[in-house]
Amino acid sequence: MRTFLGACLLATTFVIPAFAQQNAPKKGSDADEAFMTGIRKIGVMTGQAFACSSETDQPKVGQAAIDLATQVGLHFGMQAAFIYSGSFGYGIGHDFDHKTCPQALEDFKALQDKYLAH
Amino acid sequence: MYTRAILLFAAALAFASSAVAAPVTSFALAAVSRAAWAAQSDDSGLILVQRRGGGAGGGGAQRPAARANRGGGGFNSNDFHQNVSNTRNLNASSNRNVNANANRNVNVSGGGCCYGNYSSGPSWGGVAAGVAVGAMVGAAANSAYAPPPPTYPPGYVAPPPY
Repeated sequence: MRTFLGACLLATTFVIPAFAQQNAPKKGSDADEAFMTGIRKIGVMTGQAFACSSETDQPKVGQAAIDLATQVGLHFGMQAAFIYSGSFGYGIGHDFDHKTCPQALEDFKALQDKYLAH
Repeated sequence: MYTRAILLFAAALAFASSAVAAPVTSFALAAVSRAAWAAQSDDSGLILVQRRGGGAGGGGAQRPAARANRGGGGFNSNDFHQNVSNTRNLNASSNRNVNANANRNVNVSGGGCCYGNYSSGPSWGGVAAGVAVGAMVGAAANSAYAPPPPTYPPGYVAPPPY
């Protein structure tokens, strides 16, 4: 009897938190609003870094953006990758204050070094 | 006899429920659970959920994905998620009342988190336009690929009906 109670206790110790996690938004899902907003900001930043780069550097930045979109897709799903890619295009296509270019390039470099280091 | 069976059942239930409930977050557990379960289970669903980097679709998408996998072997998705989720707006936060909590501003500005000053980007229409621009950039970056034709080739013949 005591063993049975112990087994039940062991099971509920793991089962209850597991089911409780189901109610919380999954990490990286579209319900994770802070994450999706961050993905959009990073996409815009990457797009601005592309726009700020010279023509010779733009293919590298573009390739890095594709690699990052691939990683986002692999780890967080196609929806996050789509939002990132759309925001990347938005960053390129919309006017912005080019005084922020050094900051955008620096942020992009840091992002690249941290997550796309070869 | 019953004791051992009950304990085995409880342990199996505990691990299985954890794996089902948090397939995305248990990155560190993936290798452990894969090793533990692969030997004794043919249930490929459990393994496939936690497997990554194996199968980018077919055709042209395969090459960039493979390259990204090689280059991004150190991609720390947990750290990325945490970093991305903390993109607070630095301008907005700097307007907080210093008297209310002197430590608050120090924490925010010293957080080192980085992308708060950027626009949060487009709405749906903007995303569509952005994807179009991004697709052009992708085509330029992968110059080895021929750009897609603007329309069907002139000699295109519609397939016959069934």
